[in-house]
Amino acid sequence: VTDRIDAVFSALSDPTRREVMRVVSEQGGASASELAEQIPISRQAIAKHLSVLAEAGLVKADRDGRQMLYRPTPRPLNEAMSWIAGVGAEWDERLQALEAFLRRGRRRRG
Amino acid sequence: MTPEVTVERTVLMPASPRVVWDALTDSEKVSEWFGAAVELDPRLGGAVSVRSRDGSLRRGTIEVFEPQRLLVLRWMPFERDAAGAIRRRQPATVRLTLSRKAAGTLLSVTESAATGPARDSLLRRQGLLGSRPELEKRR
Repeated sequence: VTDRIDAVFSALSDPTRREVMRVVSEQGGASASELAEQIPISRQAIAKHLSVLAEAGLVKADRDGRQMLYRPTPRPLNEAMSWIAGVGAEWDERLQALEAFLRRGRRRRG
Repeated sequence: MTPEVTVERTVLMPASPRVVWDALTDSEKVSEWFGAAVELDPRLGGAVSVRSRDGSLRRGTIEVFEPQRLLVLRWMPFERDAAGAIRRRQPATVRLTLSRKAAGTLLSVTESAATGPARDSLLRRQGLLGSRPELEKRR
C-alpha cells in the first residue's frame, strides 16, 4: 500500500500531470487528443503523462474505437488521495514561494 | 457526517504577522507567490479571483477576515477554462491562521474538501449539479 501511495504522490508532484488528472476526473474520461485541446502541451507529452498516471493506478485506459479513452479509476480512495497529493503539492510550492517573497522583502527593507 | 479530506501545512515565515497578512491579502503581493494572477477584495465577503497561467479562472469568497490572525476563503465548485467553458472543481475551503513567534510568524494552511458522493450531493443541493447541462455533459 505504501508503494502505491508513493507512486500516487510522485505521479501528482508534477503540475501538468495534476492538470491532466483533474481534467480526466472532472470529465469522467478523455482521450489524449481531447486533453491536448484543453491543456496547452503536445499530444505526445499528454500521452507520456497519462502513462505515468496509469502506472500509479490513477487512470485506466480503455480502447474506444481507434483511440484510447482514459478514465479515472473508480476507487474512492483514489479520488481522495489524488486530491490530497495535488492540493498538498500546490501548497508546498506556494508556501515556498511565499517564504522566498518575504525574504526578498526583508532584504529590501534592510 | 460529511466525509472530508484535508491538507494541512505549517511553516514558520520570516516576517511579522503584519507583513505576512499583507502578503496574503494584497492582490499584487499575492500574485507574486501564488503562481497565478490573483485579485481579491480584502474584506469580509470580498470576492477572490485567480487567473492561472493556462488562462483558467477560479473564483471564491472571503468568509472570515480577522487581520493578522485568520483568513478563510471558500472556492466555488467550478472554474472557467481559457475558452470560457465551465469545468467542475472540488468545492473547498482554505483556512490561513497566523500566530506571532519570536522568529517570525507561524502560518498554518488547511484546505478541506468534501469527497465523492458527499461532494456530489453538496453540489446538487447548491443546484450546481444536474441543473447545468455543461457540467453534466460528459457524465
